[in-house]
Amino acid sequence: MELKLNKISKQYKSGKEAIRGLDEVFSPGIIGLLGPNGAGKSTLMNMIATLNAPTSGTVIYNGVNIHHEKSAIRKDLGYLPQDFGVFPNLSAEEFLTYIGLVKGLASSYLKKAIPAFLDSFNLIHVRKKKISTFSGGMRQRIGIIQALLGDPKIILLDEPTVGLDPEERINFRSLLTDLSKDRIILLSSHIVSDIETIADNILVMKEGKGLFYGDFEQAISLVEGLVHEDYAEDDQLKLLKKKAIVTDVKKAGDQMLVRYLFKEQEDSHEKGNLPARLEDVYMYLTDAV
Amino acid sequence: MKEFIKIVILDSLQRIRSYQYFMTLVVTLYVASTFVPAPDASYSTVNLGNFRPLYNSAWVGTSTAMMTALFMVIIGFFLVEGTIERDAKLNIHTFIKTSAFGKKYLQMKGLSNVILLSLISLVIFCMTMVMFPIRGEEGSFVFLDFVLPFVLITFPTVVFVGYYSVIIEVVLSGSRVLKVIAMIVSWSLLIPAATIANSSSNGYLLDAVGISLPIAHVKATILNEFNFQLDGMSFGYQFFDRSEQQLFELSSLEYPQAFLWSRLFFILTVVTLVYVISLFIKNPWKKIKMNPVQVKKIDDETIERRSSSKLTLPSKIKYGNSFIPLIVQEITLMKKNISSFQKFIISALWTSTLLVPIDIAHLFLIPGMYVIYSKSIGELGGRSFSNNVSAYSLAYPKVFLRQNLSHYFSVIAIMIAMALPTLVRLIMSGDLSAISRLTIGIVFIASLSNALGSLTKSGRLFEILFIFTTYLLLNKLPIADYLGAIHENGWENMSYLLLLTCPVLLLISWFRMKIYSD
Repeated sequence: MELKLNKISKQYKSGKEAIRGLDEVFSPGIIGLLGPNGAGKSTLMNMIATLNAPTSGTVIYNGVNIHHEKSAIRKDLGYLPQDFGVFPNLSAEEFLTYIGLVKGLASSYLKKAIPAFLDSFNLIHVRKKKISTFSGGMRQRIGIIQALLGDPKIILLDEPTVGLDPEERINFRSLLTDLSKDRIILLSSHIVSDIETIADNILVMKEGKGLFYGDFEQAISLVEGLVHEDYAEDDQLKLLKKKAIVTDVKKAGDQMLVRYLFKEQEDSHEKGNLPARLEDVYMYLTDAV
Repeated sequence: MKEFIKIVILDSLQRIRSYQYFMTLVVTLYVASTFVPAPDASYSTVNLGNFRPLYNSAWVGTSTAMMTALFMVIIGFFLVEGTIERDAKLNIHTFIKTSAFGKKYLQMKGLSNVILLSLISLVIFCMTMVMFPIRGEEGSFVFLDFVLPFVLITFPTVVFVGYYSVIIEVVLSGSRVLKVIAMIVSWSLLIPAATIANSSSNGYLLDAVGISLPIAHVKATILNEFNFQLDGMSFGYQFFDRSEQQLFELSSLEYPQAFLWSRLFFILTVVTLVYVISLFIKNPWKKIKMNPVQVKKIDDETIERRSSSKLTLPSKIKYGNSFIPLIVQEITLMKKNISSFQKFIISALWTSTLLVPIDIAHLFLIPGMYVIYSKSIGELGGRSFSNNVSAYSLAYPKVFLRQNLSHYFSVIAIMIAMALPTLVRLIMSGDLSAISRLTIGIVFIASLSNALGSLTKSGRLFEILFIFTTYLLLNKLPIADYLGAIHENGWENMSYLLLLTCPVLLLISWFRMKIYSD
């Protein structure tokens, strides 16, 4: 199973280029999608979901151009967009049944699968309640379940952890890890730690371009020896921000403990000896462009 | 003040920039073109019995202003209703509640309603001027004959309706049925009061719609020219032979001070009422149900079980192409979209269809049930969009086919269920013609709701059109006889028209859904 982005670009009528020549190949596993707002993450997901066509380039799924033959991917797709809705007057169980039927799943399958999902996402006790009475986090879980219904081979999750409490996030991550073995899961999140914990590969995007695609070790190697940590006063911090990329600031008594990295290793700089984190890589890549 | 006006404009823009509003304007354009029928047309909109005015500026300007004012009273509420609830659903109300703007909120909504309705009136006004050279018969184009009736008759009515809608929405918050009933009762009182009001200071105070003055002017002209006392005028689309009508020429309308003061009085009354209500009702969203339930605390045993066991799904995925479960699900959704009170009224009407004469059931009770259900029926085609479910559902395979057919058949199923006692009685009496008329009507309504829903991504336009048409049907106008209940000569032609329209409407919704899904 393979999903190939073949130099895809997307330009809107307004002239804005949302995606610029993205050229990657995704194989089964969890692909973490990182990037600042407007990087093109949601546009990319919409394109893979066939709701948007690329202006140029092709998206090939198992050898088929999905924008020529949409059904090739749609039958294997589970999609949770960033902004999604529900039918508020239906109960959780009814709504998921509705979406399952829309996906073409059999009622007999849904009768068994929906309670299992609801139990797994801690919603079984409210399965008969109207969704209009749900909190944001509960709705989010309903959105995730609808995407996972029907054992999709390609799962697109755009900011799925928004509104989930820490326990539910851990639960969700472990479920996703279980599911990832023979599926391609594209997971976009602003929470770098979510990606860091579960992603097999990471795609960092900015202004529609792919800045990096690779596994965690490859990502870390980009900033190896560049990460520093020091105590600093306000003035020193301002100065540091001009010379380096500040990735974290913590209050430590009267001073601040600043984590930073230099864009390039120069002779004048001492080699950093701190172990790098994905957050450092993200800041390094998105700040350097 | 500047900020307040800015907020009013922004709120209006938010509502105007919708496909639904655009479609409303398109339909308004069409409706406006029918307000002034051709001199030789078989119908009239303002019925003066055996008399017909020459189509000069005074008549065309005055009659369309009167029709627009009546149109606003009947339809206006449905065009602007739900705006306060929508703010709650979009969670905007939390910002308003915590800001200093809260006190002015209802005034803002009133003005915003006025802007929306004024724009619709403006479209009618422009259409009237376009139609004048086509339909006009006599005299030159006098701009003031068009402007003054719209400014002094229609506009105050628009303000009245805009603010009155806010009052109804706040006072009867939480119950849409009560709001609709209140509006129907209101227009049932306002319109007759306006048509019977005298053209005197006291009479004007009965007339919130502003049509008593032009009615008196028309009556006086007929009395002068023909020495005939016209009993009354009726409004709405009416069909009859107009060849025998006697012609008269209407002069420009003059506006006495008492009339102008009465128009101002109605505006000030509703604005003041809204102000007073805003002093007492600080939280107009209070009765709108949206309290989230709390997540139950998970006990240790559950945590233990969930951490040790993995998600156990059925081993084999089963696909099913049967539409029936989806149709059942659509029906469930439609049933859930109506309140217990509506269910109670429908049950009462349904039971009555077993007892009353079949004609009454066919003409009054079945359309009555459908009107109560019209919101649910209308929403079907556009619900995925209005609830943003389409954001992901459109990415699933053959969704347009599955959803479109299930929408279509679920509406038909639920409408047949409501008409079932009547259908059974018709079968028992062997009236196959009535059965076919009723069935054609049901299929037509299903097709129309689906097409308008998918075109406008909302059920509002269907609901307005359907309620309006049913209102005409209850007044026994043959043109509105979508269920074949009046069954006058010529209904056969109408049945062909309805039957031909159905596949066209079906294709419209089909292609529209396919375009969205592609």
